[in-house]
Amino acid sequence: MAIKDTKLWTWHVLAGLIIFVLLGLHMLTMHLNELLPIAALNPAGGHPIDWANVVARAQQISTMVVYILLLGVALYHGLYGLRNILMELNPSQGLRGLISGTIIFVGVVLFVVGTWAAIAVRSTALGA
Amino acid sequence: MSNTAEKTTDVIFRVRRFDPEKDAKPYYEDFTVPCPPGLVVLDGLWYIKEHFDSSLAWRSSCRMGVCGSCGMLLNGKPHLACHTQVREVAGKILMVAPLPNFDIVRDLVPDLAPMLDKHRALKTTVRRADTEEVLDPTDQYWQSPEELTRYLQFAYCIKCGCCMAACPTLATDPVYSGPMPLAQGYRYLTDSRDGSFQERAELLSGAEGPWRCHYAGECSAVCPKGVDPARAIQLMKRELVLDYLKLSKRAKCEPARLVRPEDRSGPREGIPDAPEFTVEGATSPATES
Repeated sequence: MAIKDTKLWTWHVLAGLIIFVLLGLHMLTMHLNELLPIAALNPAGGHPIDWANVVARAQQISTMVVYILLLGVALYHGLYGLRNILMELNPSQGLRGLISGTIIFVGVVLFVVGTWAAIAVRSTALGA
Repeated sequence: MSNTAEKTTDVIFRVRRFDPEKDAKPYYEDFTVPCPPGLVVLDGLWYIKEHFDSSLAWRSSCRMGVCGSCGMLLNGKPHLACHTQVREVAGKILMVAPLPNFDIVRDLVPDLAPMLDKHRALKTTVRRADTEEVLDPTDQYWQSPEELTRYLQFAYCIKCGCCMAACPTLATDPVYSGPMPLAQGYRYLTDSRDGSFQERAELLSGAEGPWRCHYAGECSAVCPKGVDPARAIQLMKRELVLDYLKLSKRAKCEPARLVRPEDRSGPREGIPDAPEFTVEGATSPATES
């Protein structure tokens, strides 16, 4: 049974809200560090992309969780939006299924690859 | 000559014509119509029919912006022909075409049946479990002024189709119900007398529902009755999302009950009695109960 648009749209909106928070956290870490310096986000001081800061952040499990979560919600939000745009082109019923299937496949693959990368970065940082 | 006649100016009505039995595709035909101040487009069309071409076809009835029959595209925007003065919308030329987003029956006559089918599909009537009372009412359902206000403006819709013609989503997506049916869906979704919230929520949860609205807002901009379908669609989304999250108060409400004797109050002070009936044997509905 197809998932109803009410559910998909609700999660689309909730994903947008989560992105707002997590992307805000990312911006706070990477771009607003001089305006709002938070020691826990850049423990070594200096520039956020200094090697020491990158390694320190990568070792934190919270950073890994935040970026995996951000990846998941951003993929869902973006791919659901893309699906809506494609559906408005009025494809046939068969093509609708193909579009949905392809988008789910692409989303899952990107999420798996991105999650693997986030975990691998942490493992590498812990070994550094 | 009167002052009105002195101000009469000639306006070219460039009318889109199409007869599916004779024409391969639509074409435009010009008619010069003398337009005094205050002439509405519908009167201009009648002038054309009487003086130039009796075969020109359009749909109209009440001539007072109530029936919703004469929606058409005037200089690129949907209007009611009976409600729009020529000088409001035209300079020297007035482009007159049928409403877009509908199939054309002939000339300026759109096929409104798909719109009305979508309207019907969303079960736009008060639906309750007490069917006997609905079919053979013994009294009125109690509704507060606040409950009435929630849907009142959406009840002013005359189903003219102007909003459907202006909707950019509907232009490419025939599955989408469109502004009129959805606004009417919301009108009943929020009516406190209605008792079928979950049934409606289920109907609106698919591609026919409000989810593909881009909020362009054109439907509200063109509505000749001042209804705001775009607002209804956004409110509908909110109500359905709250219902999905189990936070909707409306979904948990029991439908309105019948009026109780203690709900009734006498006439306010200072209001005189109604005059006697002039028709023999007539009685007031209030005195009957």
